[in-house]
Amino acid sequence: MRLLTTREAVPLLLVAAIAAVLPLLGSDYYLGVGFILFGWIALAQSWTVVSGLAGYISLGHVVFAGIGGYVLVLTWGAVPVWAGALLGALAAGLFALLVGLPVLRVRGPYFVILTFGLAEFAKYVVINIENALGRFGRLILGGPPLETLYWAMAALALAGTLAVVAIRRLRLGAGLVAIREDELAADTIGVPTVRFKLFAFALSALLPGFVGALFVLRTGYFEPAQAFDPVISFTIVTMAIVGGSADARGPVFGALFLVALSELLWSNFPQVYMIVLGALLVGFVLFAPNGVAGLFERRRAAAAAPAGG
Amino acid sequence: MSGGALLEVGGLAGGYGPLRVLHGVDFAVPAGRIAALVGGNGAGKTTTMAMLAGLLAPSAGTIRYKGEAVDSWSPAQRVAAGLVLVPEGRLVFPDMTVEENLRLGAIGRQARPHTAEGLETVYGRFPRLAERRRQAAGTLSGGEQQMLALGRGLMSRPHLLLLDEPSLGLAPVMVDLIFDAIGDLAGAGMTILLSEQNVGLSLELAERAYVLENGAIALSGSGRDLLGNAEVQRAYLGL
Repeated sequence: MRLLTTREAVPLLLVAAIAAVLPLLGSDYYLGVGFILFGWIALAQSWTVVSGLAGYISLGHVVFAGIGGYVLVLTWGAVPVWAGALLGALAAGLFALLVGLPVLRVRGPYFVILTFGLAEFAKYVVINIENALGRFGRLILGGPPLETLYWAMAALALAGTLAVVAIRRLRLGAGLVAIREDELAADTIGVPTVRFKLFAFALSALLPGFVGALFVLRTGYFEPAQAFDPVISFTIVTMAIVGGSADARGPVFGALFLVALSELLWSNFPQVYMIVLGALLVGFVLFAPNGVAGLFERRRAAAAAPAGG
Repeated sequence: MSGGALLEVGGLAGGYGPLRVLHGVDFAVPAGRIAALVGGNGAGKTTTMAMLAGLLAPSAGTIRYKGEAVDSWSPAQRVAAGLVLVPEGRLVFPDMTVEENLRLGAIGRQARPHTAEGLETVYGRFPRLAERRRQAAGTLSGGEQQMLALGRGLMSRPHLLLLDEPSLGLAPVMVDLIFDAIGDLAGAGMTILLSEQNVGLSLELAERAYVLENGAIALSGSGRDLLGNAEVQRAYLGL
C-alpha cells in the first residue's frame, strides 16, 4: 500500500500549507481567520467520523464544543489552561459515551432530530445552572495570545484530518462505512455495530470539545446561548454538504469555501450573505450531493471511462 | 443424537414484540452436512435464522454451537466463531463494487489477514463475480447478487453457514446454479443450514431436514425420507 494516496495527501498538505503560510502575512487579521478556519475544519472532520462514515447525521454537534467551553471556564484558574481545554475534550467524549448508547439506537431522521434536541436540552440546562448561580456570562482574562491559539487550532485541524485518514484505513472505518450502507448487513458480516458506533460517536466528540475550549479562550468569555448556538451545528452540516463527507477532503474543502465566502461577503454585503449561502446549499444538494470532493471524483471517473458509449 | 452436531437448538421461542412466531423449535445440524429447515411463508424460518445469527433475541430456548451456549453472544462474536448468516434478500451493499463487498465480508479479526486468499477462493468458485469485480453490486442480477452474498459470507471463513432463502426470487437456472454451489460447498466439508421454501430441491440436498409449520417442527427425518413422505408430497411438492 502506498504511504499516502492523493485523496489522503491533499487535505493533509492543504491544512499544513495554510497553517504555514498565514502567519507569514504578518497580520492578526489573517491569524484570526486562520483560527476560525482551522476550528471549522476540526469540527467538520470530527462530524465526518460519525455522520460521513457511519451515516448517522448529527445535527447537534455544537453540544460537544459547548461542553468543552463550559468545562474550560469552570476549571479556569483551578488548573493550567491547557489542562482545562483537555478536560473539556474529555468531558465531551465522556458525554458522547454516556448518551451514545440510547441515542445511537435510532437511525435516519430520528437520530437527526434527537441530536438536535439533545444539544438544545444541554444548552438550556447550562443556561439554567448559570442563572441559578447568578452568572450571566463568564469573562476569561489573561488567556493565551492569538498566535498560540492559532497554532493550537491548526494542530487540532491537522489532528482531525489525520484521524479521518487513519480511521478510513482501519477496520473501524470499513465497519462504519458498512453500517452506513446497510446496518443489518453489517451485523451479519461481523461488524461489532454497537461498539463501532459508540466509539465513533465518542471519537467525534473529543476534538469539538477542545475546539469549543479554544473558541472561549479566543473570545474571552463564555455565554451558554452562544457556546451552544445551534447555528454552529448547521454550519458543520453545510460544510459537509458543500465539501463532501466521504473522506478527509470534504471537510477541508467545505470549511475553506464557507470561511472564504463569509470573509468576502460578510464584510462587503452582509445583507446577502445568508441568501447566497441558502442558494448555494440548495444548488449543492440538487446538483452535487457529494460536494466538491464528489465533483472531483466524478470528473476523474469520466476521464477514466472510455470515450463514447 | 448429538454426536457430531455442530449446532443444537432446543425449545427456541419468541418473535417480534407481542407477536410470537416460534413456539419451541428443536433441531440439530450435523457437522460437515447440509441440514434443511423447510416450510411455507410465515412458518418462522427467517425468525429462526435471525435468532441463530444473534440479530433477534429469543424469549426462551437455547442455541448451542460447538457445544457452547451462544445465546448471549453478539452477532459479531458469532461471526468470529464461524457462525455466519447469509441473510434473506441478500443485503449486498449496492453502491459498492463486487470486490468491496467481498473485502468487507472479511472484516472480522479472524478473517481479515486471509482476505487475499479468500478473494481467490470466491472468484474461483464464482468466475462470474471475478468478471464483475469492479461493478457496483446493485447493478448485478438477482442470481449474481446471491452469489455475491454467498461469497461475502465465505470471506468470513465460516464453519457453519446459515443460508436464508437463497433461491428467493431467482430464475430457475440461477436456482440450479446456487444449489449446485451449495452442494459443492458441503462436498468440501462445510456445514450448512439451509432455510428454504423450495422444498423439493432442499430435501434432495439435505442430510437432515425439518419441516417448520406455524413456529414448530412438524416433521423431521433425512431429506430422502421426507421426500417420500406422503404429507410432505401433498403439502409442499404438489404431488
